Amino acid sequence: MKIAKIKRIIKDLPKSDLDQNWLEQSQQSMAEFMADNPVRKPTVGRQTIMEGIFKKLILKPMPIVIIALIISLATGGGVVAAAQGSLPTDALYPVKIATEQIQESVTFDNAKKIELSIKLAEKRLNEIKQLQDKGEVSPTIVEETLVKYEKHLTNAQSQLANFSRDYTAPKLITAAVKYEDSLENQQKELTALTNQISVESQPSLDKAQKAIIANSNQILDKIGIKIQQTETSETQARTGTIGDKTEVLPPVLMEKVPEYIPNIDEKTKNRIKTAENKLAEIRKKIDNFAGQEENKCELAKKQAFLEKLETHYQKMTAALTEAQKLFDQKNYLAALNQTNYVMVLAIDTDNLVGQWHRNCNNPDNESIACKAPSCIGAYQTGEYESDNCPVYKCPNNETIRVVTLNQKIGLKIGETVGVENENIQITLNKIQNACPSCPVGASCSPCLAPTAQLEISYYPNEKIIQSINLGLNQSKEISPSVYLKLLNLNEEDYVTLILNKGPYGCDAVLNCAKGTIQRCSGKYDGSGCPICTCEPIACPMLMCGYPGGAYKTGEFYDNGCPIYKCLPSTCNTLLNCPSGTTQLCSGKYDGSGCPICNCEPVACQAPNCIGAYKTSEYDNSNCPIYKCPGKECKAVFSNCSCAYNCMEVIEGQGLNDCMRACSVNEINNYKPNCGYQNGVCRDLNQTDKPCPVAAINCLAGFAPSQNGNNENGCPIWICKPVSGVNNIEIDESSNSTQSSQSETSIFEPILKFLQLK
Amino acid sequence: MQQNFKKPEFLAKINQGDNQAYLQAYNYYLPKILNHTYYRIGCRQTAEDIAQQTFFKTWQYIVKTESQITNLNAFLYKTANNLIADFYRKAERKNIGIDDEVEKKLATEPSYITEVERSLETKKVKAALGKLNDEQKKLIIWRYLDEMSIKEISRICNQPQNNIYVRLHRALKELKKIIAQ
Repeated sequence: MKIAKIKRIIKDLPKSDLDQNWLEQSQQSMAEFMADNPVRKPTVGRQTIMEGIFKKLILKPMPIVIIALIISLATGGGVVAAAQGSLPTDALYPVKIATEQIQESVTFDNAKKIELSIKLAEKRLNEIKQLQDKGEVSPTIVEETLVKYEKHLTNAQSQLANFSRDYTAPKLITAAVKYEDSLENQQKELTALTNQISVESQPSLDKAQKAIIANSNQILDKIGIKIQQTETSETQARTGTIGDKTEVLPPVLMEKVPEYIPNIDEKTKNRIKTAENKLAEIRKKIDNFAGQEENKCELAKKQAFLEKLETHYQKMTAALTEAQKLFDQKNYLAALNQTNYVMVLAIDTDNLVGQWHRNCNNPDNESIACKAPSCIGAYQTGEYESDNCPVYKCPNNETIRVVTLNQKIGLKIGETVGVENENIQITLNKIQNACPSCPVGASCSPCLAPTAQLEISYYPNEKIIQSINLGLNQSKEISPSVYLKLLNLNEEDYVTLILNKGPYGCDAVLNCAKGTIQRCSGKYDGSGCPICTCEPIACPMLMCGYPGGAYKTGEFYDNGCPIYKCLPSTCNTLLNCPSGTTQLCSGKYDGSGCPICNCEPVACQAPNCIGAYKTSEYDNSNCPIYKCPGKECKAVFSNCSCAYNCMEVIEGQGLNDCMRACSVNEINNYKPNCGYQNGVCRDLNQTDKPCPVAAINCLAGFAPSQNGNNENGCPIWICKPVSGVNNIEIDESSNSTQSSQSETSIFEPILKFLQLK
Repeated sequence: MQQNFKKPEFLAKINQGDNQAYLQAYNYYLPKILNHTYYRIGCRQTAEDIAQQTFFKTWQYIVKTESQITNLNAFLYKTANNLIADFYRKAERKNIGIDDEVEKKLATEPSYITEVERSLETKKVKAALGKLNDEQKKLIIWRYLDEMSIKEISRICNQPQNNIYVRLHRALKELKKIIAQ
């Protein structure tokens, strides 16, 4: 018979006759049941139902804004459109941000992703500009918006990093240069803003400026590395630096740069020009500062301060000269690096001047918080800075930043910090980003989660050094009750850490099983220990070009996620195993990369009674059929009927029927004389009434009850619903009315029961 | 008609505990659940009990929990499925064929007497269906008798749709094989 026919036949199988009487009565009993168990819920309107549904679909952390956004999209999107032009001070701004986030998450093409990040970064700057025009800038808003801005820059950087795996060098470099150009523009815009915006916003603007420069340096580095890699097929990465050192590309490569970046000479020339202008600007500022009359601050201190400014200026000049030299040597990338350095120094100089003014305007110079010493074991020299702060000297002339507990610590690669009062120094060695090497065009397994490799040393005992690896959100104890946790990881060179004191006995680090990662809720329990749990990692799924193509290799990454591979599309992945067998794959692969699978016999079910024995027959799955040993027929008290019944029970097994107690007036103590008659287990004393007696298995919530007798006078057992915990009192009087009813109206007694309640 | 029962307004009423709405659903779905259960279990009486109990349990769910039912059809079938599973666990595990009572009734149906050939084939299919194990039987019944979508079935079984496809396919093949024997 053809399958199509089989399907048709099944479809047309007769719907079993619905007895109308039964239907009516069951409806009635349903109605009664509902009346007895009313629902007490507050009226919900359609809106909250939708919210309820959405709450199931949406993860908890998503703000209500997203729900509103989705609802508005569903109702016509007017809200979203209106939100697009909103500014950080507007009510609809969160909607705009939410839309952007959604946009980001649905952009998959890497090149487009980078474009989007740049666009969004520029949007942020634009918003600040618009606010400035309106006169509505507050330092907090500026700060928040700039933070978002910086995030977009960082996103673009990491997207570029991802990009580099998929695309060829020229494409990557073009994208990188585009990004760098946009950074240049943004810097100009930011500079323009800086001149207009109030002093309080200055720190966040400076931070943003520095972020731009840092990003620019990173990008230039990447470009240089990429060119180097492509030209020399070297895989070793150079680390570029800003500051005094300049990485000089070998002359061979210097010539190649213009091939990759067409207008690099023009670009570098312009940047040098900008730097020159900046230098001139700073010069003016310093001269102004020198010429100002300061009544509040001592002249001597000012002199010392001026010297500092001059040193900065000299550094700037030197850098600019170097940049020009490099430009003449056609070492464009290094020249750009130097111009960046000039800008950084400019920002610092500005800051110094600002700081001076702030300090000076403070009448009580003594109360200014002095900078803490920057190294462990520092001691005062007896001299004082221009701001009246004591000068410290470090024991081994190192300047290490000092940090404290419960404070976010940012660390760059190679940087060391010291922990106040704990004699601990923490150095960031490197960030391990394990990406498997992937040939171009292949779809590959994803990268492992990056970890930070840190070195902990215990001052003054420098011999003891501990090396630890921290993954994101992982915490390790580095000293008795001092825990170091990795909060954030910038794949290139920067981590954020935090130190906590943990009370003794806290499991700060859970050993999470494979496939899970430790996440701390940020809350603490009664004994002060952080509450952390192992949460399953969302493991990335591998998308192959055709459905069903990905398979588990059986190996796992460090984070417990299974490693997938794509099957060649020519594999016969689905065997049609005959009945009695099932497809099992050995985990091995044959020459063409296809998994080796076989049809293995299904594990057969074990018998479910004591003393079962095999018959010589087999069932559909080729499993042997077992038969249970003989039972005996004896009188057993049943809690269902509260009487003795003749039943077939297996030797040694009790009767698990109803879970209720029998009340005294129900119990029928008549003990039948049980035996087999005609193969049926029954009461031999009542041979004139050949009634088969069998225990009825009622479902949970139903209890067996006698529903009259059939034409032979034998009892008919049915299951009645049990409502609630109360004992059902079987209405014995219902027996007398049964005989008049037809066999099929089995729910009549329920009805009666419910009515009688 | 079934579309009405899927509308959110209706579901809202159900979740609220609207008696009228629930009874409407009861009238509509009870025959289906009963049918389904009957073909799974083979015993008329038990099927009626289970069908009834499905609706009681669903009502209790509405009363007791705050969670909302989003697909009544799937929920009812899921509940019925669980009850059938319970039944199988308690009873001795055996495949119960469709009992004689119904066979008799059906044999006297006029439409089948006239089309002898068709009834023979139907008998074959029914018998074969009875020989399948419950796992396969329920997939076929859901898909072709109850006309549920793969999506709904996958929801009830908590398995991905691909799995359901594969298993259904195998079940059909198995059925075909048994019929051919």
